[in-house]
Order: sequence, then structure tokens, then C-alpha cells
Amino acid sequence: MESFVDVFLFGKCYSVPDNLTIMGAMEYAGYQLVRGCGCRNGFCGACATIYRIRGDRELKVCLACQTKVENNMYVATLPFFPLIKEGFELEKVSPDVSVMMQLYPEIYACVGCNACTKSCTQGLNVMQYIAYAQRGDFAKCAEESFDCVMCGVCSSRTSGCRRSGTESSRICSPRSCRSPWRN
Amino acid sequence: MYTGEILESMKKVEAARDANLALEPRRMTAEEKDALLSAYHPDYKESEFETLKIGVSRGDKVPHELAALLQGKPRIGAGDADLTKIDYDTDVLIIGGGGAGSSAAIEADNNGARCMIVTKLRIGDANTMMAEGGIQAADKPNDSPAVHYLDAFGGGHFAAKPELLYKLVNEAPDAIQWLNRLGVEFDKAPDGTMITTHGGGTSRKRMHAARDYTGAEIMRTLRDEVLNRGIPVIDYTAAVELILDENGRCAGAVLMNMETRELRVARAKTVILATGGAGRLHYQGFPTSNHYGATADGLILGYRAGAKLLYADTLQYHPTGAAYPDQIYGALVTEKVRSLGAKLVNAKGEVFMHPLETRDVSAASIIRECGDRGNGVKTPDGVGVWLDTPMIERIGGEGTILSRIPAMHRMFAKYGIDIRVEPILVYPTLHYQNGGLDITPDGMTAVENLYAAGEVVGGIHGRNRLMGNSLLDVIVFGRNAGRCASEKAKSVEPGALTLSHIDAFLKERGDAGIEGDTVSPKLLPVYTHGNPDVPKKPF
Ligand SMILES: Cc1cc2nc3c(=O)[nH]c(=O)nc-3n(C[C@H](O)[C@H](O)[C@H](O)COP(=O)(O)OP(=O)(O)OC[C@H]3O[C@@H](n4cnc5c(N)ncnc54)[C@H](O)[C@@H]3O)c2cc1C
Ligand code: SF4
Ligand code: FES
Repeated sequence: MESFVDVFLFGKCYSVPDNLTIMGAMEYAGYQLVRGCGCRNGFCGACATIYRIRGDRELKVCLACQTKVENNMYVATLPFFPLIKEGFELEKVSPDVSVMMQLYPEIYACVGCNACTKSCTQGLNVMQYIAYAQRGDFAKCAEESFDCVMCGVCSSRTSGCRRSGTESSRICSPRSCRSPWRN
Repeated sequence: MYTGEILESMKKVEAARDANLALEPRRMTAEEKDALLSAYHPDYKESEFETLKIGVSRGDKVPHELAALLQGKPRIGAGDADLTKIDYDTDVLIIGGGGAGSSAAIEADNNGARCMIVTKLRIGDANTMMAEGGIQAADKPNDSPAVHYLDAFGGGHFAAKPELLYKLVNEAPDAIQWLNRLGVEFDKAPDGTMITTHGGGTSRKRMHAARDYTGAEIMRTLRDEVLNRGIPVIDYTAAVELILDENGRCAGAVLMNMETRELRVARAKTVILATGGAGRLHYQGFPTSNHYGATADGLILGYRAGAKLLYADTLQYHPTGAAYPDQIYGALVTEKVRSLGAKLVNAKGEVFMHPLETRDVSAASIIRECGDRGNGVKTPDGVGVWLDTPMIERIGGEGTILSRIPAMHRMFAKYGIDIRVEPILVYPTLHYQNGGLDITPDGMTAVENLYAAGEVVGGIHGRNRLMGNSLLDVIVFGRNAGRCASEKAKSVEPGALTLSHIDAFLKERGDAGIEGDTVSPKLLPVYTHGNPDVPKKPF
């Protein structure tokens, strides 16, 4: 037997089968997705989403294609977040700390609140790998951040980070600007 | 997190694990494989196919869903776009922002051409991003392109176009080096040697991987390179029709903004179709592992403009799609799980086949096991067989799963299944379009100045593709198309633009008595998950 839960999409209540993902629930409710839906399977980071369960103080973040609906879930999708992608010429940059300082100075303003790590949809130790980046330990940074899907959640303010802006994102995450320090 | 009958069956798998680990299952003979395929593989189910009545490949058999689109109603009429108002003017127009399109853009840029990418979703929202298992290349001392050729040729049932496959295997080692130089972090031994493993149908260990995020790692590196070079990328913009010139050569495309539906005209000296596959057409009702935009658009656009198809009747059903839980129904369980040692086990706990038969044979074998033989495990959405993942930790040592296939672990862990200690349920899923547009070794289709690269192409792999040869084909033929199309562009004088082929097509359609209002290209699937109150109108 199918059972249903109440989900609030951008504040409006819909009753949806409880076995759906958030993405599925939006479609069940009649949305034709264009933005915020890419691979549908946890690899592309297109579907960053914020939600809160009624009565719960905590604001949560997730990937809509990878998260099952819950009763009284309030959902807002985050299909785009304005972040910066710095350009560089792979053959011309050298793998030392100055590269990071020059391209991503704001990571040095990190106050260590750890909101990024708590929010990561892939369960990565984001603050740690940003620390590696700060120090110019690029091999470790690359290793720790490898499974990043560039959803941008950690660097959006929704994660709770007070210094957010560029430290990692769908386009400019350490994952995609890591190239200069590879062998 | 398994309950009821599923749990009962899982206990049998656990009980038999020691014995199953020791077992070396027999490989099937050629005759056994042929009999199995013709009885159980979806490609052999004649009622699911029909003959094309119009177009350059009329007489060819294709799946019903594809025929409806190939012979469908063009999204725009010849008069809908104002061809005197050029919105984008470029040398090489690249349609599709996956691995093939991005590789093509980089090489066209290298060759000094102006180029641009238009893509339906964002650059990287593509099948390339999802590839987990790896990419083949014969670059180890015990291997050679010749051996690679034989593996792929046999795996594709001797139907590959020799000149294309020759190019694929010979340019493979260089493709890996190219990616490595761009910054792709392949799995390497401490001394820097690339780690290579087997895949289904390989006789040498030549699968290169980057954990089980191989495609993601390649895609984000290519995307980074495209953006670093400042190559324009127009996202959320789909090509809905190709534009020809008065001499019938391809000269651009009509683009549609996916959000506002506004039309734009792009003029180019040469055009590269890199639109990928067709999983979202859900042939024969199968679930799919593909990304949201895999709707065979490139086949439709190319076909209407006069490009021939090759093997469009052959699809790849990946033997191991997730069969449980239903939130990830159809999602890919990478073949690497089997490369690392997990065996396929039926509901009774018996190993029923060698885990590394080619994909078509494996898929047919699982369908048989769950069908006529009645040895499948019933799930809420269907049926499946076990893939005994804990074997991996037994063979490779504790920690192998987290270090080699973290994405797989994560995918199931989200639903309370720890694949290190519990096996998983799998069933074939629609995975890859073996066939597609026919090309010459320089990447050109039957329409002059229209190139194609990547999954949209047919013929490189024959009638079945081996794991790891598609990412390879995307890089090799993507780069190739970028080079050739930009070179050709140097000598092209664009003529007067026209969409008259739409009228010709509509006339042919009418004359053949084809009715129906399927609009094509499809662009996106529509899902309502069974909600009876929501109208299911096409995008
Ligand atoms: C889950 C999964 C796992 C895989 N694993 C492996 C593996 O381990 N090894 C391997 O070799 N292969 C693997 N493959 C296959 C391989 O990844 C793909 O065949 C290959 O990446 C296709 O690349 P492409 O560039 O041709 O297409 P894609 O990467 O799919 O890119 C096509 C692009 O075109 C865009 N597009 C489509 N239509 C239009 C239009 N009308 N206008 C504008 N843009 C459009 C799409 O949105 C997309 O961005 C896997 C595939 C999947 C789905
Ligand atoms: S962008 Fe941030 S939150 Fe998203 S996967 Fe990467 S590290 Fe985690
Ligand atoms: S749609 Fe790609 S991660 Fe959700």
C-alpha cells in the first residue's frame, strides 16, 4: 500500500507518495524540471536543495535526487548560486601557496566555523581540505576533495558559512580548480 | 535494511559466500551465448522494433520510441526562425556539453578556430559526468592496440567499422596522456604508474580509472579547460533544428532557450553534434542509468538533415542497474564492482554465470534467471538478482570498497544498505546507445560540414560496446571532430541559410501517410510518477 506524506514545495503543500525522492515529489506535484536537474543520480550537483522539517530548528541541505521525502518537509531548491570561477593557464601556474592566495584569497578569511563540513552532501571533510589548500598542500587537498560533486552547498550561505563566496562550488570548487598542482 | 523474502534470500547468499568465493564459474561457449541472446536480449525482441518509412535510412529497423521521433513532427516550421537575423556567428558550432563536445571545443580552439558550445542543461550535465568504471587504453607492456582491437571487435560481434575502431584503439594511449596532462587524476601506484584493471570482455588489464568517479573527474577537468580558455558556453539552450545552406551543407542550428522558449539562430562554417545518448526514451519500458537530457536529439536533428544511421537498433542494457531500493531503481551499479570480484548470485544463493561476460550476454543471462528460470528475488518495483559485494572486501582486503568504489558505497548507504557487509539487488537498465549517426574517420556524417562525436555516433563499437570504450571514444573522436571540423572551417564560405529541409521532410512524411503528433526532438522526458491528476504533456 502506498502511503503519503505532506511536502511543502516553496511553501505550498502537496501530498506525495512517501517513497519518492524530493526530485520525484516535485515531478509528482506537476513541476517540469529544467534547472536543478542534471544526472538524476548524485553525480552532477545540479540539484542542491535546502529543507527544514516542521518543528526542527535545524536548516538542512541535500541533493534532491538523492533524498527521500519526509512528512512536513519544507523545501526550496538552489539551482544556482553566484560564485566565481577563476581562470588560469595550466602550463603557467606553479604548484605553491601563492597560486591559492592569488586565485582564491577569500579562503584565508575562514574563521573555522566548520559549517561547510557539516553541510557537505557527499560527507566530505570540507574545512580540512580547504585548510590543505590554504597551506598549499595540494596533493592532500585533491585527495580529500576528490568525491566532490560541485553542488555548491558548502559555499552557499545556506550552509551557515559566514565567509562564503568562492571556497568551493559547482564550477570553482577546489575539485575543478585543482589542476595546476597535479604532477 | 532488507526485510521479508528479500532478507530470507540474502541469508542464503551469505551462507554460500565461502563456497561461491572459491568457485571459478565457467565461461559460456559461443553457441550458448548466441542462443541466450536471441532468446532473452531486448534487442532481439522483434515486436519492439519497426521499419523506418522515410528519410535516408528508410528500411532500417529502430525501436518504436525512436521511430516516433525520427519520423515525428519538427518542433519548428521552416518559417518560425528568422534566418536573416544571426544571433551567434562562429566557425565551429558544438552542440552538446558532455565529454565529446568539450574535447572537440578544446581541439578546435587549439587549431585557432572560433568555436562555441551550446548545451541543453549545464556543461557537464551529461552522461560523461556519470561514468564510473573507467576508460580503456592499451598502454601496458603486455598489451597492444592490436589486442585491444580484437577484444572490441569480438565484443561488438564483428560489426564495428574497421577504420573507426582502428582509430579508436590506436589513439587511445595518447588520449590518456592528454587527459593526464590536463590534470585528470587517474588511479596510480606510488611510483606513478597507472593502475589498470579488467572489464567485461577485456583480455588484458587496460581499464584506467579515477576511483569510481572516472567520468566526473574527466568531465570536470575538461570543463575547467573549456572555461579557462574562455570558450563561450551557452547553457540551457537546445538545438532544435539544423540549418543548411543552399548547397545542402550544414551551416548552423536553430537554438531554443529551455526556459523562455525563445528561438535564436547560430550560423557556423561547420557543426559538431555531440548530444549523447537516448536512455531517457526508456525503450521497452526499461529504467535507465542516463542523465536527464539523454533523449536522442542528435539522431533526430542529423537524420532530418540527411545524415545516415548505423545500428540504431542496438542498445546496451547494462546488466547491473540497481533493482532496490526503488528511489534508485535503474541507477547504475558500475561494472567495476564485478571487476573487483563481486559475483552474480541468484535467489537461492547460486552463482549462475561468470561475472565478466560481455554486457549483452550478462544482461540476457540475468533476464533469463529472473524470468523463465524463476530464480529472481522479488522487489517492490520488479525483480533482481544478487551482486555479492562483500566478496570484494574478502578478496581485496578490508577498505577496498571505500577506496575503489566510494560512489557505490555512498549510493546505497543513503538508504541504509552497507555494501561492505550486505549484497545488493540488480537488474538490467537501459544504458547506452550502441548505434547512431554514421561517420567517416574524419568524423563527418553524410551531410557535408556536419560532424558527430561521442555516443550520438554509431559504428565504432559495432553492435555492443565494452566497458571503458565509450569514454575513450568520446575523447578520441571528440578531439578528432574538433580538429577536422576546425580545419574544414578554414575553407568554408557560408552560403545562404535555409530551413527548406523541414518542408521537404514534412512532405515526405505526408506522402508516406505518417500521422501522429509526436514533436521532435524530445529535449526532456516528462515524469509524473503515476499522479493521475497531473496531465502528462510533452515538454
Ligand atoms: C551511469 C553511466 C556510467 C557509465 N560508465 C562508463 C564507463 O565506466 N566507461 C565508459 O567508457 N563509458 C561509460 N558510460 C558511457 C559514457 O559515459 C557515455 O557514453 C559518454 O560519456 C557519452 O559522452 P557524450 O559526450 O557523447 O554525451 P554526454 O556526455 O551525454 O553529453 C551530451 C550533451 O549534449 C547535451 N544535449 C543533448 N541534446 C541536446 C540538444 N538538443 N541541444 C543541445 N545540447 C544537447 C546534453 O545535455 C549533454 O550535455 C557510462 C554512462 C552512464 C550513463
Ligand atoms: S560542493 Fe561542497 S557540499 Fe557539494 S559535494 Fe563539493 S564539498 Fe560537498
Ligand atoms: S541531479 Fe545530478 S546530483 Fe542530483
